[in-house]
Amino acid sequence: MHKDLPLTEGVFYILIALRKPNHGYGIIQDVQLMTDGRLVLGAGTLYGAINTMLDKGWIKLYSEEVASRKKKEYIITSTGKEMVKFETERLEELIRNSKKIMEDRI
Amino acid sequence: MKIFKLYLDKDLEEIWLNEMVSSGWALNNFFFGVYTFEKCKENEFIYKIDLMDSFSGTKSSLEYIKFVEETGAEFVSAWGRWVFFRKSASEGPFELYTDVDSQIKLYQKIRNMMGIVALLEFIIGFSQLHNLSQFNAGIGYYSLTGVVFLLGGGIGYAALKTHNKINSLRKQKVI
Repeated sequence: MHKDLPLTEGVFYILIALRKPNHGYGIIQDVQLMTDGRLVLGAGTLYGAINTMLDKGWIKLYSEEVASRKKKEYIITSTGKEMVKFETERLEELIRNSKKIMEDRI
Repeated sequence: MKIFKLYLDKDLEEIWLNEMVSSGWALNNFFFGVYTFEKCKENEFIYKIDLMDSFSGTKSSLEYIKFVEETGAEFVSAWGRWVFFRKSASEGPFELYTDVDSQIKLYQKIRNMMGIVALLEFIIGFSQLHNLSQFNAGIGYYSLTGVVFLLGGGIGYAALKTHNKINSLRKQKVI
């Protein structure tokens, strides 16, 4: 298993939200929408996660137009996509095994 | 309205600021323990206090403040590495750190900063004592040194309390 696994729920959803170029507030809204309002990322949590993922090369800066004061946009990298794949495989294993106990009960 | 207060616990400070809002007073500036309030509607805002990675005025601190503002919060005041944000209560709950990992990181930052400040106070205190012992200093000089030690002790104790908060957050994680 990859040393960075498991991903935190926040990191996992931020990566998915960055399948297309997105800025901070856009990520928060997208994650909120995907989880039916269950997960609302705090700005501090998101900022820290973005910087960590930039360092790890899982996401990269997509645009930064200082003159127009446009918001910084980020996008997932191929390494980031790989992390999502690894995590999805891990989650699938979890679901596969958890289903065993559900079947037992019935 | 101005109130002078010394807080060594940002969580208690946050509670107090939000209590002030419930009685119609909103913080609009903080400087060296002096809180300046202006009138607001009762329960109009929710306040949050944060410790930044760098001092206010630096490029990276401005970048962080801009980022938080883009999420719908309002920047109120910054002093050193501390920053105050608020959001209209009508917009629902307001949290800056929404998972245990990032909360732990924040408290680690606070603990480390306080630890260094406490250590500095003690170094200054002891060097003052050493200097004072060189000549026949009056009690006034010693009481000044006493204040330095008191501050160092207080901040050191606050760092310890923050350390305990980190430990209890860590315990929450390992269930």
